[in-house]
Amino acid sequence: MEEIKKIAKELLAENKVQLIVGFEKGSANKVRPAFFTKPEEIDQLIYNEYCIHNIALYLKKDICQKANNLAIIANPNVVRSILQLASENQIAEEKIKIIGISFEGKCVGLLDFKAAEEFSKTQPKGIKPEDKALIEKIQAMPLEERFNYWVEAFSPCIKCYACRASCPMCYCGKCNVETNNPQWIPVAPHKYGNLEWHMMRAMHLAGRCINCGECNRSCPVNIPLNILSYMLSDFILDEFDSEAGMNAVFTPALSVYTSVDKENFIK
Amino acid sequence: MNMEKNTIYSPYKMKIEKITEEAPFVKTFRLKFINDEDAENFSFRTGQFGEYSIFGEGETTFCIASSPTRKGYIECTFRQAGRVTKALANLDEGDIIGFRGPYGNIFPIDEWKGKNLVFIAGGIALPPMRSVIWNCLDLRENFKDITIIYGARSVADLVYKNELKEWEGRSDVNIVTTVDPGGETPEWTGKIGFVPTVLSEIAPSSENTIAIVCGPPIMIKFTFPVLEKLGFTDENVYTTLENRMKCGFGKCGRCNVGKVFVCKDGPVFSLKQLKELPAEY
Amino acid sequence: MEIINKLIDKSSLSALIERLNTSGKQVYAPVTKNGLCDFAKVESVQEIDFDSIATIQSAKSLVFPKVEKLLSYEKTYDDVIVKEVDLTKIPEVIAFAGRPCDAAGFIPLNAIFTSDSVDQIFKTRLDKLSIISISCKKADDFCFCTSVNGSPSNTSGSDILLTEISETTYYAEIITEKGKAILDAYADLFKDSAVVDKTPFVAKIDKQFSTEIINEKLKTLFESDIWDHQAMRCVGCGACAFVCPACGCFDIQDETKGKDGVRHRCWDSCGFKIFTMHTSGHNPREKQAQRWRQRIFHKFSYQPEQQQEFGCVGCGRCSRACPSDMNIAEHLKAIAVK
Repeated sequence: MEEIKKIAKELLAENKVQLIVGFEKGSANKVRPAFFTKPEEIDQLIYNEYCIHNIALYLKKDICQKANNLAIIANPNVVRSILQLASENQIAEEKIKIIGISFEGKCVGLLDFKAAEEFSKTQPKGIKPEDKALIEKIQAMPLEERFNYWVEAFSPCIKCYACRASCPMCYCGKCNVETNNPQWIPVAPHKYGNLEWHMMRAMHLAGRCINCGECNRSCPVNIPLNILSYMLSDFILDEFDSEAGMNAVFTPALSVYTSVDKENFIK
Repeated sequence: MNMEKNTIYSPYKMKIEKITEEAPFVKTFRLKFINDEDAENFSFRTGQFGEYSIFGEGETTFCIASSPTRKGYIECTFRQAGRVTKALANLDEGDIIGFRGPYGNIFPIDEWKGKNLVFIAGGIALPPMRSVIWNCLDLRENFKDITIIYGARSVADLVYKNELKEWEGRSDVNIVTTVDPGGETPEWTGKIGFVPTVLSEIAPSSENTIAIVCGPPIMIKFTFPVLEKLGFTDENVYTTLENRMKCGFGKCGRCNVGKVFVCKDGPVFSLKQLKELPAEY
Repeated sequence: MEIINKLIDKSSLSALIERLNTSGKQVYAPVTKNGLCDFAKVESVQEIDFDSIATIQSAKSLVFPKVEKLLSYEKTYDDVIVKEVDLTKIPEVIAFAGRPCDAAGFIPLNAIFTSDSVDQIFKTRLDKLSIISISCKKADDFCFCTSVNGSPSNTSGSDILLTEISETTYYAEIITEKGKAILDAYADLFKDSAVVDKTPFVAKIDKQFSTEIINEKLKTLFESDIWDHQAMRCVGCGACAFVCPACGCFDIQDETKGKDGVRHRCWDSCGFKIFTMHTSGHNPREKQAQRWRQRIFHKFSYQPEQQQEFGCVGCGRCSRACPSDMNIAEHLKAIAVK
């Protein structure tokens, strides 16, 4: 914690960055994303086990886009998001300094993209035992039951789009759901409107999702969207040996064709 | 069968009686009520608008572009842009669409009696103005000089070409048409220049005069200072706002600007009223 | 109508719920499922969660559901048959065991939907809704009803308000004619009572500011940098608006399958970028900070001026639901001292 603050303070004091994205105390026992531009503000910066939001989200928002250079307090999920964003040409290495924090909460200092790639490989995936159990349960379901499971799981969705708004990979200027000419996805949050929206989003994130689970955490009605993403990521790792958030230069599995791709889906 | 509408969302059914191609991607529909009783009970005043719908595509908002003095039909003029307008553009004469309205406030033409009127319009913003122009021309004796300044990007983009000719032919209307530099054709006899520039050249007197301005935001932005220079006070300058709308009666929240809903408290505002609102339009 | 004071035993609630159900009314109450508490249809008192501070979503969906059919249509070869909503099919509903803030939320919502012109679908739903609320014994850090003219035992908006005054008994205030109709129908379940001072039995929630101060401050704060500052971490989702009991903004959408279709409305939010965006791409509220400002101004300045109601009941749902911890009470407090 003190080391994080020291690095952050120095970066601002020595004018190495204009902005630091991190956390501060939030409401009740919550923490919240915070933005620091002056060394003296760093006293407000905190890092603890509650700092699990994927604040890489803000890299594509106005506040970070306007800064010439910035640093970000980066747990493994944030690091993976940055690498994934970099691979999609959304962030340049010279603009960002990564203050790495390990899975256990230990500061590992500043990481360049190369070091971030190494770091990313050493860090475990944040998949919880109860999530694993649910995945196994779903995988054991016959196809029709699985489909019905998801229809049911999506039904409480109110289309507040908190999942999209909180996802660092959902940076499209105009989301597919906002296009109406033609109207690909029904706007209304009814059964099939919800199903189509979440299937579309899952497909757009397949091979790009770094499995931080923010979609689920941000969902006011607690839809297990993270489970859907985990399952897709697993599938893509299996089928294409491809994993998002591990390399700064990377081509998502669903964007390329190679001659070694399995073609067992062609019947 | 005449049914009392049981909700405010129920539209009238209207038949497209006539389609006029005005300019590239711009069409005018003349619409007639399918139900005679609806036609009899319907009335509107100039400045008001409606929600036009294609069932399956949705609703879209346009002003009523015809004058309330012309009974038995309404007209709307639209440019193909979004989902609904594109679908509308594919319709034929005889097809049926939905219409809800009239909504919104009016141009206060009763208060303009005995005054000179200067209409200043740009591009596709002539339709809201056309209703009030015809309304005033049909009550010509109520007003003194009537001046129309209308500009478009190019000659092809001028809408209501036949009516422009008709107005040109009238001795009781002073009309000036203009196109942006580069938008002229060899045959073009009107002016070449932007609307605000042409307005300052013509320099209509502000004495006992009302100015009505409709156009794209950029034109409006440069027109207001010219009017101010000519001595027009904010109370005597009117415009219409075109915020995005859905319901048309101040409930869906979309067109809320400050303490007004553009759909319910507008779309017609004097410059004085406009200046009291946050610039969120 | 003057409030009628009654008592009802906790043990009688079971009979009340059952009898309301058998009379053909639909009873909705807070139910906790998978760790989330929300209003759901109940048939017995055992299903109800009396302990939660507030449901995740407000009770507004009982009168303003997330999807509402406005009309349906059938396309034929050369015509369209428009079928209006049958308002007589709207059921009688009881909102049971909601909080006083839930009940209060129907007041600004009603103002939106029925002032100036009447939205008959909303009005019919509200007319057919009876609200039996329960005063709050507990509050959390997000509750601020006392700062926005409410209280943990506020009667406004409720038809009957129950306040737990002992292990076995609720004090029942019968507030409206609708409440009295329920009392009359199930009079055997209620006992007479004198007026009870509810204060010792309800949560204490400190007043942090007043709506008058916010309203007054906003008069000069439109151009303030406070909006940029507060909205910095806002992610621009609609969670706050959708869980809010007083947010009424909506979208209208058509959906066709074959020759049949439905025109319905669904919740919308001023926090979304495309809410105000013109077809041309021009957007009157381009930045998230402008949209956050609209949310606060609409609730605390525009709505009081348009409809004489504040658009916030202090339930704190928006703050609990916010993925980036935008705490509305904290932000309002900052506005109050600006």
